[in-house]
Amino acid sequence: MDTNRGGAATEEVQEEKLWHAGREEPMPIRELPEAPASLHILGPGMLLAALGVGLGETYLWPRLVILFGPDIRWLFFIGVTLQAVVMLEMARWATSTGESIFFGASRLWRPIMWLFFAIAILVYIWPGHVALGAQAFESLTGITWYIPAVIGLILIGVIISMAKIVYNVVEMILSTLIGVLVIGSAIVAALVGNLAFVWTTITGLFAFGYVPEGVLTGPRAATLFPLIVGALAFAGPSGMQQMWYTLWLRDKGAGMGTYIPKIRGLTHLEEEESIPARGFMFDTEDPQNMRRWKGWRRWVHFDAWVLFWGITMLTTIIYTVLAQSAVQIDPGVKDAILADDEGATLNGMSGAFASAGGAFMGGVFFVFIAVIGWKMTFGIFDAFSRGQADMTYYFIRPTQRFGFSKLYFVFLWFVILFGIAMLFVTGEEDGPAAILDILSVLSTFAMGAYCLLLLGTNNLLLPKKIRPNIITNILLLFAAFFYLGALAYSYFAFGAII
Amino acid sequence: MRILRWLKIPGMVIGFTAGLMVGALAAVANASTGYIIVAALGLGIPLAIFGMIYDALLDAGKLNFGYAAPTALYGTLTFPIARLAQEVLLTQIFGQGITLQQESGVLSFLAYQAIMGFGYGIGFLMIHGQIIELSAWRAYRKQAKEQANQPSTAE
Repeated sequence: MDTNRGGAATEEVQEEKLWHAGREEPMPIRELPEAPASLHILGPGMLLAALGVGLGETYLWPRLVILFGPDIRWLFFIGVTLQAVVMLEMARWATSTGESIFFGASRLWRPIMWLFFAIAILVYIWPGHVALGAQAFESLTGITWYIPAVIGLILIGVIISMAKIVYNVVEMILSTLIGVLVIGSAIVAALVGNLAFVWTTITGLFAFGYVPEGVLTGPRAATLFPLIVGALAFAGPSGMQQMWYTLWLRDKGAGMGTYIPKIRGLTHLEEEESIPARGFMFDTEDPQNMRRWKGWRRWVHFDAWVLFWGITMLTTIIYTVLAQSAVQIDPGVKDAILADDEGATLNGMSGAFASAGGAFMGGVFFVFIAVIGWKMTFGIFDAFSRGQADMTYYFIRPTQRFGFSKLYFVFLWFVILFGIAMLFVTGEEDGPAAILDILSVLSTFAMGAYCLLLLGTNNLLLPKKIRPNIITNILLLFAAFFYLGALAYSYFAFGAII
Repeated sequence: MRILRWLKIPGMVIGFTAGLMVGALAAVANASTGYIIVAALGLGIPLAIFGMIYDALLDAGKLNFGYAAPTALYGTLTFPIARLAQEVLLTQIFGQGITLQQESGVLSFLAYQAIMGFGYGIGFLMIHGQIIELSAWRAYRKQAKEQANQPSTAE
């Protein structure tokens, strides 16, 4: 029995029309709402960019630039461009159905969805980002890193628990922090860089096919190649962030997501609305709905290319400029990284800032990394809990009596408390960067896997008129090969993933 | 109308704070007090003015609230001007700017600053939007809307 909102009369008519997509419950047909009148209104793509611009852009890729020079960045270019394509396809599923991509996976075959459930737990319960951020904080203040890490983790839980609508608070905090970081980075770079630096950075993006010496063969290949694979996974939104983007789209009310209620904070649980048992589809034979669909696609395209791709590229150009100057100023940085001293890059990058504008500038870099580390954990923990709660709510039926929001908070506080426990268990010896490396391997696998998943959901489960075209499909297939192939090569050629 | 005038504060504050940040950087780099002040105000005042103009354009309906592309373009166009003003001031008074002399010419300086201006514009938009949405500004906007609507509904 359908208990969704809407008038009784229209309900009767609409219930006759259903879209049968895969194995789960069919989707009732509803009207697709109008897309925002302007392309330029910020969507969750900005949130994805805010989350995506993180340690990959500011830490892992500068590390590669220090090792191999700016020409290595053609791989970054390909990585981020593929991510924009993936983003568009994630949005295709989410805006046309109002369902998460996890629900889409279960429509294909439920074990696929549980696979992602397991991967999410394996990858995202580690507090790697906040640990690295706290390490930067320690360099800055001298306070032992796990103290700010623990405080940071608790702060995340408290802020989200107090929210009325969780998405709004997450969007507000991530947007503000990334805004400060983007302005800060732009101003710092405006004061220390020049056009020549940008030029080598940009030409590096197009040095297609450049393979640095000693990466594929030689004594250091077993260390260097996996390093590149790991960094590939951190070009743009890494791991499952793209999958969570579908949840944000839904909470933002994009497309058919408008029919799904939002997650509420712990202090506002009594206002929770009942959640439909599945998503909705619109009538693709109706010209009016198709016109609106085109509007939504334009909105998503703008989000993906201008905001996500543009911001990621811009931020990364700034940090590449700084990485280049780090090598110029202190060639010893490169040797230190090769000697596997993980902290060397943080100090090296800080040194680049410092030499450009005094000791305070070195501190600025640590501030950036500290903020990014916390911001990443904030965004990831929210998204992780969102995704896990989504899968649990829909597919472990007895949990539905708790409500979606409560499940969300169970996962959120679990991951926070587990994170705190882990910080004390791992201690400083293993180093936060070690956690980060484990994360990057599993991330790469998830990324290859979701490309294949998208090929399945968007080609098999959507009405013909709104399926992706052949070029998009080829790009998705290439992306799957790109991520999984690199990972497999790393494993079989060198016997080690990391 | 008074409320609308108040709304010009967010853009101004972001611009001026950006200038202050440069001053703080110069301060820690052991620059002279005069240099710090000129570096901070030289960038902060033009950026604050451009921030006010941005808000004025919003009020006038020439720009729409929350639009990314026009704001990024606005940053691309105005940030280089602000930076050039700062550099020229510093060069005139102290005989040396910050990066102007490192560039091959004014045009390449402006081109580089324009690229960074794009970033400034996007960051500006993100913070600006949050300031407006976050606090009392939101209430002001609602009030302003209600006031604006009342006469028209009475017609």
